[in-house]
Amino acid sequence: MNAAAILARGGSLLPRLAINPDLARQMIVGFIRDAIHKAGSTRAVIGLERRD
Amino acid sequence: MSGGIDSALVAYLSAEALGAAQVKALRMPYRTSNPDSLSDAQQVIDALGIATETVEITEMAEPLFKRYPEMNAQRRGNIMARLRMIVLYDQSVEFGGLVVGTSNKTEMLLGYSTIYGDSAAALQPIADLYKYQIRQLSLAMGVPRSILDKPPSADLWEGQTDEGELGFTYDQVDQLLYLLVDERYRPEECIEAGFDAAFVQRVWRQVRLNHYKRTMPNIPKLSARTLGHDFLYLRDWTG
Repeated sequence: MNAAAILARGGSLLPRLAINPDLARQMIVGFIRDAIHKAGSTRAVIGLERRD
Repeated sequence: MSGGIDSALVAYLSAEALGAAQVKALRMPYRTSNPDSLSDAQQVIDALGIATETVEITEMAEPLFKRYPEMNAQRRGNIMARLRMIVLYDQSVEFGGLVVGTSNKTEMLLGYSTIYGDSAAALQPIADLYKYQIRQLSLAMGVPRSILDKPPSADLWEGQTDEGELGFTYDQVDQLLYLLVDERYRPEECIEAGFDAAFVQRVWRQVRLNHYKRTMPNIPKLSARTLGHDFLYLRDWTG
């Protein structure tokens, strides 16, 4: 069913956005490790309040 | 975000990727910051066992706020975001770690961030996930319920929420952005599909006008090999 038909029935497109959490987790964990190691580091710094 | 879901999720993912001992979390409150933000952040720190430090930014920000007493909330918010960036990048050197960003796809597309402030990072691991997907992954990773259920807020003033400030909900805008960006719908096709015309135009304008925040600064081409035009090596280029 296309987006217009879903919306015309009062439905939501959010189910289409659903991800496979296990796969996403595996991909992002690998990405972080790879990106940090390629820059010659093994560590990360994260801001827990960035905008307030 | 303020002890919010995005930074919590990035902390969980980074601890899994690198080991808890390799991750440091910085809490950088301003004097008016909601105390709940600090306690939510503490839950993440305790759950993961990562290193932490609290660096108040109040004394750094106040001289500039006093210099410009007419400063509005946007200017003040930008200054606070950039002061936090300075603290984070200083800690990056001290701890020997890269700054890991916490921006998601929804806010990056909308430009709902401070350039060289909260958007400044060496990598952006969750920037291909819409807010809806951030919630889904956070739930799967065991991010504390109090953080999952908290209305997203930049904590700019008491009672401020992202959705109140933006004028729409993340669920609404995620569906529209999905069609515009992932499904390559044109704005008029989104309107035909049933989205409110004013909402579509406003969101699409925001996406277009904020594109500069998502790219490296433009460089006019003057030489045979111009950075970003002809000199196009990947960032992990080793040759």
